[in-house]
Parts: sequence; structure tokens; C-alpha cells
Amino acid sequence: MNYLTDRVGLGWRPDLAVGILEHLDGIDLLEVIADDFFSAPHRQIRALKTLAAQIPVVLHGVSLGLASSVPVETKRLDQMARLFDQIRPEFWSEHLAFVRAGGIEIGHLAAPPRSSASVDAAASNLHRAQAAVGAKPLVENIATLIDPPASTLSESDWIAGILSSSDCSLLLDLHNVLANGLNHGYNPIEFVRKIPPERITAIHIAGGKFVSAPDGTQRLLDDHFHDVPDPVFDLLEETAARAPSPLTVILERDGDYPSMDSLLAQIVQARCALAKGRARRAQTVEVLA
Amino acid sequence: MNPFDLRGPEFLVFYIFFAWLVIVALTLLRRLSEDRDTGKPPIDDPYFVAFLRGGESEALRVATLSLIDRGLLTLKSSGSPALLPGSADSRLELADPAAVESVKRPIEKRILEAFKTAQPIHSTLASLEGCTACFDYAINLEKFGLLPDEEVRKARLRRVAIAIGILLGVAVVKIFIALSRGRTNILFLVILSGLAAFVVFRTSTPFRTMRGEKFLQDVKSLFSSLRQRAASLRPGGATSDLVWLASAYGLAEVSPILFPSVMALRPRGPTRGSGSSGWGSGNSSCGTTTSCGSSGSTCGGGGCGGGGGCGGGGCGGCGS
Repeated sequence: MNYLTDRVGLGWRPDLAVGILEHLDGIDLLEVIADDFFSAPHRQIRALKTLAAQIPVVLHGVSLGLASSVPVETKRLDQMARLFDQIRPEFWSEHLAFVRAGGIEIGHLAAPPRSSASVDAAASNLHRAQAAVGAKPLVENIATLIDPPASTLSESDWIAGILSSSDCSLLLDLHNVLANGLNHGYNPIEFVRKIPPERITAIHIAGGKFVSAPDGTQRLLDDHFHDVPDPVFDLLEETAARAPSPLTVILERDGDYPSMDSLLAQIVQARCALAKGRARRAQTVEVLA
Repeated sequence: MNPFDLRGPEFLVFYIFFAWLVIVALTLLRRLSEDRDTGKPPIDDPYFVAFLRGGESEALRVATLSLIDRGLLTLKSSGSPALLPGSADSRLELADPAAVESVKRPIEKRILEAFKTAQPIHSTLASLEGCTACFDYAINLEKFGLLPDEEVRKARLRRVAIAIGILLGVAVVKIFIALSRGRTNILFLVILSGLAAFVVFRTSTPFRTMRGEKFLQDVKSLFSSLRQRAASLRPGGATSDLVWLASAYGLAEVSPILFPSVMALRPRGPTRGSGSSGWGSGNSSCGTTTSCGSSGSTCGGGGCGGGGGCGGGGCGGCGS
């Protein structure tokens, strides 16, 4: 990663292809779901290369299960490695989650118990992933509607522990932070402040919706089907005020697509939040100097 | 074993196999020579893609469809504003004179200018072929190695000439040998050698280069979701989905139920891109050999007019 400034991009979705390719001047980079291309024919890989020739591309995995207590399957790592070699993205990322256990595919990203044992298991998987792919992945925090049982560490300590053990950087999903904060009763801003800022190099922003829990309480669901809410932009500003490195921000949208103008407006809003955060950071550095 | 000693039917089988080998060799050579990295072609202009897929006439049709969908052109018949999408005498007319200045792409501007008054669709679009806007697309496509430029065309013809020379040479030798041995049943070989030469020419001079072929496939792959959503696109020009669908996949993929005007635009004959000859193929080099005055526009005279040859209906506005 040799970029020098903050950048804001968009998750590549085929349904958004026209809008994206017509507005490349307003989008700094694209994030492509790597798993969509693991078994893709050569033709689709070549099309992805053609896309990567138009605009910087990063790869995002969703099915490795890096935070699993068992080693990540070699076959999946090989698929990621092959795609990485073919596309040569700026970086690749995966979730700190497990997606299968006992031979059963869960079908979504699940949070493991946050303990020193799962920190070690995730670090081990991350070392294997780095060895297989040839580049360290960025790891992403996930949203969870339930606090993982048998946890002995807070989420921020757990993430910090994995980052330290693996020497990986963090892809901080701010809507996940917001959702977990609201659902589990902590202040998202405080959470961001507990994350080692020097480890944060990429950001996900997205939207979700409130759903009713069986006990009648409201829970924020990270569904990526809605516009980015203002609190996420506040978190982005806070992150930009703390992170010393250039940030790569990706707007994720997985359905109920709005007009491209709306998505571009959210990208602009993200740039504004970054600029505000950077201005705050510059003031802080000045005061300290 | 000397193949020239083979009996008639056996030699014909050998000749078919030999011609197949020649065609494979030509294809491999073309693949090697026409797949050079000549920069990164942009994917931000649907008419660039339409031109690559179907030639200038296709780019003009797709642009016209987009202008109709956006309400800048109106379909008319006999002066009365009535939608007669499939009618042979369908005419188009500019909906608002101010629209000419509002569009940003030269090809759209040129089309709007051509339909300032109600004009028949196909003949008017045909008259625009070879105009500056189309010429610019051709030059860019050649620059990126997606369409054959002069050098590639010459290399193709050189290879084709050699291949046909070899094929005909083998046939002529066999015919001489047969005649010298008192056999006169050479008709099948004469027909077969002529057919082989024709197939060699057709397969070795396609409209696009290998690189152009791959690029078009890539664009189609990137826009594959458009094809799946073709039945749910909405008229009105709110998005560019329609124009990209038509550009990447052709007017045949556009629903005539949702977009009735597409019926009036579908080609009536073979398009330039669908045949083996192409923009500037054969001996003419479109635009590169003729130019119109100092304005920099190029068309007409010795350039590429209609699909059948040069000059066609002229460019109707060269230099404007």
C-alpha cells in the first residue's frame, strides 16, 4: 500500500456496474468480493483485470473464517492466493469471524468467543493466510446480534490482541461498531478510541435497519441495504482524527440500490467526514508540537 | 508418403486437413500479433463499445435510441406525432432545438443536428456514417488496438495472401500431376481450393482484433447483470442502463415492449461489425486516406461510407 492520501471507494456490485463505470472520476477505488471469483471462468477473471485497469481494486473475502479455532482450509487459501496473483490488488481483507464448524457451513459471519485462545487461533490462521497469499490480510471486525458466550475479553481488547499477535492492520467497519455498540450497550466512539489507531488502514461504512428482538427491544441489523447513517460519519471523523496513516474508506451497499447520485453523495459525505477528522488531527498535532 | 500420390478422394480429405491446419496457423499468428498491450481502453463511453461491437452504424443506432429514450428525439410519421415503431417510413425529429447544445457527446450532437426537421431514420443515419464523431471513435479504437489499423490490416492481408498462395499452390501442383497422369476429375479440387481460399480470407480478416474481441467480452462480462435486468429497465433516461445494454449486447437485447422505438432502429441488413470486413477493412482505410478541409473532420470521398463500400451517402456535414 503506497497511497499517500485518504481515499473513498465503493464495493463493486454487478448491478452498480453502469453507475460505477460512468462515475470513475468520483470514486477512488473499488472493493471486489473475492469469493465471487474463486471458481470463476478465465473470462470473468480477465474482465476483472480489465476493471482493475480502469481503477484501483482491492479484494475482500467473506468465507475464509479466519477467526475459527480450526485452521483455514488450504483449498480456500489457495483460491485467494491465485486470485491475488491474477488481479494484483492493493490489498486484501477478511473478517474476524468463523463461518463453518464441524463441517457445517453456517451461511453467515459468526463471532467466536473472545478469549486468548481465539486470539491465538486467529493469529495462527492469519500467519497461514499470509504465507499462502504472499500478503498480510487486513482484518475486519464484524457485527453480532448476540454477545459471544464464553468470552473473557472485550471486543476491542480481542481485536487489539489479534492485531498485535499477527502484525496485521485493521479494516474497521464503522457500521458494525455502531451496531455492536447500540446492541450491546457501549459507546461506539469510546470503542474507536480503544483501537490502536496506527493499525487502522481501511474503513467500511454502510447502513442497516432496526429490528425487534424477541424481548421487544430494538436491535440494529447490519444489512447494507440502507444509506449510511450520520453516526457512522461521526465515527469516521473520529477515526480520521486518530489514525496516523492514510485511510481507504469503502462504502458497502448490497441491495435496494439507490440512484448513483445518492451513492456519490454518501462518498462525498465520507470525504467531508475524513477532512473534518484530519483537520482535528492537524490541530492536535500542532498543539502537541 | 507423398501426398501428391494420393488418389482423388484421399487427396481431398488430405486437402481439407491441410486447409484446416493453415487456418489454425493463421489464427494463432493473428492471436500473437494482435494481442499487444496498447494502453488501457476506457469503459466510460457506451458508443465506443457499440462501435467496437457493431461498427459505426451500430454506434449511431444506439446513440439514437438513447436520444429517443431521453426525450430529445421524437418518433413521427407523415408529420403527425404518432409512435409507429416498426413502420418503414418512421421519421425522427428533434424535440427541442436547445437539446443540440445540451448533449455532451459529439455523436449525439451530430445526430440531433441531422434530425432538426423530421427525417427518415435509416437513410439519415446512413448519411451520418463516416462523420467526424464516428471517425474519432474509429481512430481511438485503432489506437487501443481494438480495431485493426493500417499496419494490422496490411499484416493480415500479407498472411492471407501467403496462406491462399500455399493452398492454391498445392492444389495446382496436384492438378498438374493428375492431368499428366491422364486424370481429368479435378473439379472437386478446384471447388475445394476456392472454398478454402474464401474461408481463409473470411476467418483471417474479422472486424475486431483479438484484443478487441477480448475487450468486448470483458465489457459484456462486467455488464452481464444488465442483460439479466433487461426486462425491468425503465424508459425515461433516468439511468444509463438502456444505452449500456444496447451498446454491449445490441439492440436485439432491448425489450420492444418497454422501448417500442427500438423496433424502428433495428438494422435491416447485415451490420458492418457482423461481417468479416470491417471499418476500413479491405483496401480502404477509413478516414486515414481522405480528409475534409481544415476543420479536421474526415469523411466522404474515398473513406468508408455505407456498409458496401466507400463514399455511400457521404457524411452530410463534414467540416461542420
